[in-house]
Amino acid sequence: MSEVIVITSGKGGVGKTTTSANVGTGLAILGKKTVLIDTDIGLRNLDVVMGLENRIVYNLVDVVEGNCRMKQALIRDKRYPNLYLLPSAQTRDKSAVSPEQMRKLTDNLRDEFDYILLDCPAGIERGFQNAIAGADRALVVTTPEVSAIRDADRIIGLLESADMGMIDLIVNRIRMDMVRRGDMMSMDDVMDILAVNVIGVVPEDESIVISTNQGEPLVGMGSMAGQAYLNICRRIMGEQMPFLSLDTQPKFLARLSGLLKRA
Amino acid sequence: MAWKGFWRIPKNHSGSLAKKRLQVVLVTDKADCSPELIDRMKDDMVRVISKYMTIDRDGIEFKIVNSRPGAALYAAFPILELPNKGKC
Repeated sequence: MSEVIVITSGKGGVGKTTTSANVGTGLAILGKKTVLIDTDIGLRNLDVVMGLENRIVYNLVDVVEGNCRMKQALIRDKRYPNLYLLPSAQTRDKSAVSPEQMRKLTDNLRDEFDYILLDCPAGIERGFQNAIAGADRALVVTTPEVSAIRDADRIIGLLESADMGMIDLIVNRIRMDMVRRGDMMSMDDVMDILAVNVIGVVPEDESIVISTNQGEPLVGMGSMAGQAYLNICRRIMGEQMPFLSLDTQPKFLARLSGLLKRA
Repeated sequence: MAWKGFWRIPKNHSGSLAKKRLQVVLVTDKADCSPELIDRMKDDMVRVISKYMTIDRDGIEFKIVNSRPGAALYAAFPILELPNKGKC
């Protein structure tokens, strides 16, 4: 059975597009036929984060307006046989598409794909309404900061009143060293405040910057963020995965504090 | 272990401050429920409970937190002196 998932956040810059790219790629790696749809009309970015910017011929608006067939607009990612991208239009605006058209578009893709992921624009206006229209479930991305969490709360409220079937939270860019010294909210704090299920925690990781520079998602690679994203993908597929220990204490210190605790 | 704290770096609390501020702001965002109104409600409840038992006014926990859907009021009034069986 196919699932349409919207990746949203309210606030900009918390990592929606990076999350979309990595979760989409991860699901494809795990053998699921996946299509990523960039719904940020006018400010497209998923193509460049995925490293597929040179392969765009048609876009989302072309499909909706009937200028091309769906098959012509979908870009197949040659690195992953199960992965496709439907890019956004750069020279149009959010009003070029209606929520009803988006619902039709995603429904048409259900036959062919296991997962249809929608990268939502920031904000709560038309672009957001378009992105959530056809979705069965939502991943809300936030960071452990007051502004991002406040916006996430608003978004969760809007998703609930739109009868979104399932809402899960991804806490992005957490820094365990800061959490340890009490200067950053922990995953438990964020869960307490937002009262919603957390499906994954992604540590702040400089390899994200490098992978975005290269246009290659890092899901499944050796880095902490790569592992965290792959775990999120498995949880989306319904597997029970324990949360990663994000502690990056030097081994000697970890052993010392372990000894102290035992004493 | 009493000397465990000795090894720890003194804790900053900006994380817990952020959490407290958010818990207040998310409720006032949703409902017309100012911190003053919550304080008034707390005072009213303290007055009612004090009629029946002695409570520790400094140890009261009183907050409205998110729960899905909507919000929930969490209140804890530490009892200093329980009433006798005959009274209550």
